[in-house]
Amino acid sequence: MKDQVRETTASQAGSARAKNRAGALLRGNWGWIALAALIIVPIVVDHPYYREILALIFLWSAMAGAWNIVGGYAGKFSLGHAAFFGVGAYTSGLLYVRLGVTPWLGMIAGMALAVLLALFIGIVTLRLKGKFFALCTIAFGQLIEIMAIYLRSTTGGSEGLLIPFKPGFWTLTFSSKLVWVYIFCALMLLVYFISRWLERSALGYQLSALREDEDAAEALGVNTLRAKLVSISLSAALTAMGGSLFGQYFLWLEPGFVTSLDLSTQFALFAIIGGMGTAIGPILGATLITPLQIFLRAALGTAASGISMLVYGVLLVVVVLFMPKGISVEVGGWIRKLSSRSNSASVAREGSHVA
Amino acid sequence: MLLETNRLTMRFGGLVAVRDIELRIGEDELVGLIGPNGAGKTTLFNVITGYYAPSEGRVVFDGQELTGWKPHRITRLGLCRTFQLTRPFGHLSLLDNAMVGALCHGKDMKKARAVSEWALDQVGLHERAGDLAQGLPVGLRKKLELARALATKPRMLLLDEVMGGLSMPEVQEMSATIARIHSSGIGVVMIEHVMSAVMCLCQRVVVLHHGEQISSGTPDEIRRDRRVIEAYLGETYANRDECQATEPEASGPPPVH
Amino acid sequence: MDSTLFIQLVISGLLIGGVYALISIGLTLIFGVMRIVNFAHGEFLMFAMFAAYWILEFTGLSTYVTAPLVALLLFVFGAVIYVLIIKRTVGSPMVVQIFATVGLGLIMQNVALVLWSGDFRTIRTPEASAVLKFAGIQVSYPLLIASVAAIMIALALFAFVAWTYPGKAIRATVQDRTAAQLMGIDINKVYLMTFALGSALVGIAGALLAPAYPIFPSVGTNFGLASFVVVVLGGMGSMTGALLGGLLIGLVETLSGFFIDAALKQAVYFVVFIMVLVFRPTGLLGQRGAEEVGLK
Repeated sequence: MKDQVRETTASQAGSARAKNRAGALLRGNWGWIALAALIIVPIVVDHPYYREILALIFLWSAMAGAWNIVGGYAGKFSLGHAAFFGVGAYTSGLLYVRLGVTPWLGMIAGMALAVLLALFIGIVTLRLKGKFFALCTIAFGQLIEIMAIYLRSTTGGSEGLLIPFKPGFWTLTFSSKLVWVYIFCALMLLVYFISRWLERSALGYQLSALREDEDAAEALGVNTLRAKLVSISLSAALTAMGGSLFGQYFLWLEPGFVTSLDLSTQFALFAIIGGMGTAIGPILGATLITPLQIFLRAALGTAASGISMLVYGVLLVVVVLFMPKGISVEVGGWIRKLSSRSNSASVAREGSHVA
Repeated sequence: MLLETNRLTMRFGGLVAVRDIELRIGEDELVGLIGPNGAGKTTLFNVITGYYAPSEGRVVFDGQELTGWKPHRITRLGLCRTFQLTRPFGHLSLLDNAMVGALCHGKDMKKARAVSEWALDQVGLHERAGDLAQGLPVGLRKKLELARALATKPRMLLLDEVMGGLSMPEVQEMSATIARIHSSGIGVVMIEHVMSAVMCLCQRVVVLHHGEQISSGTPDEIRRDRRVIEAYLGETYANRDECQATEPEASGPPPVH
Repeated sequence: MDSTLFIQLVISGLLIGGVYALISIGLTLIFGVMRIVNFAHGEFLMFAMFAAYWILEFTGLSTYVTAPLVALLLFVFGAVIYVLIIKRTVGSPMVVQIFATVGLGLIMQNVALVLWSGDFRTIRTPEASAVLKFAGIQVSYPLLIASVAAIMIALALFAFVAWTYPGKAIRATVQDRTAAQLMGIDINKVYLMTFALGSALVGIAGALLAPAYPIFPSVGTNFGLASFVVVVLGGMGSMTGALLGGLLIGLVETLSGFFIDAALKQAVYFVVFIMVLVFRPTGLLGQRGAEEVGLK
């Protein structure tokens, strides 16, 4: 009797596998189409203004994706990620401006420092959960901002740090916006593929488990300390990388932006609105919202900085209250419902910890 | 002796939760741990599996002293515990719940999946492998709890009231499952209040009261033990044979690692 | 060093501390009863300060006179926000609990920015800059009023919670929600009242502080952060803790501003904050598992 049931399940699994193969092929094709689009669109869009929008979309997608590794997968909501962004930006910026070190190396140094900071924060906040973890990360973010302002002689303080414009490969400075669009796109893809890998890896399962219930995860052999530290370090390194690249792109660093609570909030905001805990969610969130700010600024002038943040706030509240899984997941769910065949539901869904 | 505790004591401030516990449990034993609420049974499990560091004494598993080890290391060594109040990973499927346990020995996804499916099958949850864990009724939650622990390929299981809240048919089914697991070579220590299960399944029973071991012996012996009757059982079980488990069913061996 | 100077520093520190305490009482009340951390708390203060300012602009009435009105306005505002947003976050997943009020703070700060621009507004009434002097010590009049108000409010709250029916309903809810409901207490109403009351308390704080500080949309950020530090230090849910924590943080800030560096005074209390969170998360007067115990 049991064997009969197992046979039926196996054949269902078989047909589902066939469907999955077809789906994978289609998804694979979507992947190539998307990649082609990512390569072609920036060339076609031959206007610096729109290229800037693209560049920023890619950068913020990457940063939201990096936040997502700790926030979405591990379930630890950090409101201090700008600390890592700022550490990356200032490390490579200062090494370049004061010591002439190529920003390529400076970027690596920035990532290393960010990882050290992340390990420290991770150990310090080990026993903190939820709101208390968030509050503690706010404090760390503020501390980094205060230090950036205070160490005026090194960092330029509130007046900021100007990075000289000397275009060249080794100076990681480019006059062509197109190059930056591709650089940030590459960063976004890096974060995306790392997220996808994470989802399917043992570490991904461990993070999901500790997100759901830390004690139970420990009982099942998950080294929660190690998992947390790895995820926060990875997240910090990627964020710092973004910070360094941003510095070389924008050529101007000030604590009030690169280490600010506002920026930390934005990383979280993009990921949550787009869909925490998925690889595509942060990209979706950044893509939907970044152009908003830029267009509003163009349309409304100085009052617009208030309006765009206002809209962000409204979106965040609405999404969090009514679509808490984020737009990508909720919409994905509707699409699945509309086009579903229900036999796929009973077949073991591996990877369910990824929405 | 697979699991051994020596003079194991746990103090919380002035309160002594467990005192001088001496356990010797072999790898082929099925031992019950009973006693009134507050006797320290779950605390004992917590200390053995590393959630608390003992105030005094030590825990030895497979010749390895465990004192000071974190729970995840102890699980990887082969000693796995379940929780009295089930703690499913609600947003994960049943299969993925088991995968977390299966992955504790290695990163091979295929192997982990095979072990997870086997573990779910052992408790009869294979058909629902794709369901999300949240919203399960208590009977299935208990099964999931057991399956997850099984997926860690333990050498010994510490089950904390795995029958709690189950109906009689469910108790019988769970008893059969545990007997089957035990006969496949996994040692079991079970905290239980469901006496029918304890009397049936367990070869040996240890009784805790106010944190101390007051008795140890076969089910027959302890239910006639005056101290146990006074502390916990009462006269009901003194002369009754409650054992009504069904025969354990044979089912295939676990996938080879 | 000059003893007068030191005493001056201590007095100033205590006065600032009184301000912090006043701001934090509402936050700790809400957390104690509802377990909600209102990440927009600073923005509520900012709205109150603007309210006091605009009322003064239009009616010429001193903010001390209009403080009760501002409190009422914030009470209503708090009630509305509770119904629209907060109600849906109680018992929700952590992401909702945190980011609903984070989003609210964003909205409030930017509504203020759009409506009233980023310009600094200051209240220039005689009482705003009044300074009492005795024995060589200067005491800022508005800050003194604020500190005294903090103590009086704390006492009034104690009385309210201990002797009135609504107050008892609050305590019952904190101790055992289910039992409270079985006794006929409407939890929803208790939460509504608590949040509105907490907002009203911030309203009073805002009105009393408006004379003492410049008023602009992001003025709430620093005060909000400081109030988190105060509440965590004092113990979440403890009103005495908010008083004590406020005074301590005020002292720490003023003394470290003088002895270490004015630019680092915030940094010092953030370090204190982190240390408290790590070593004694229940704070000075909280109990172990203060999250469970709630209001005291």
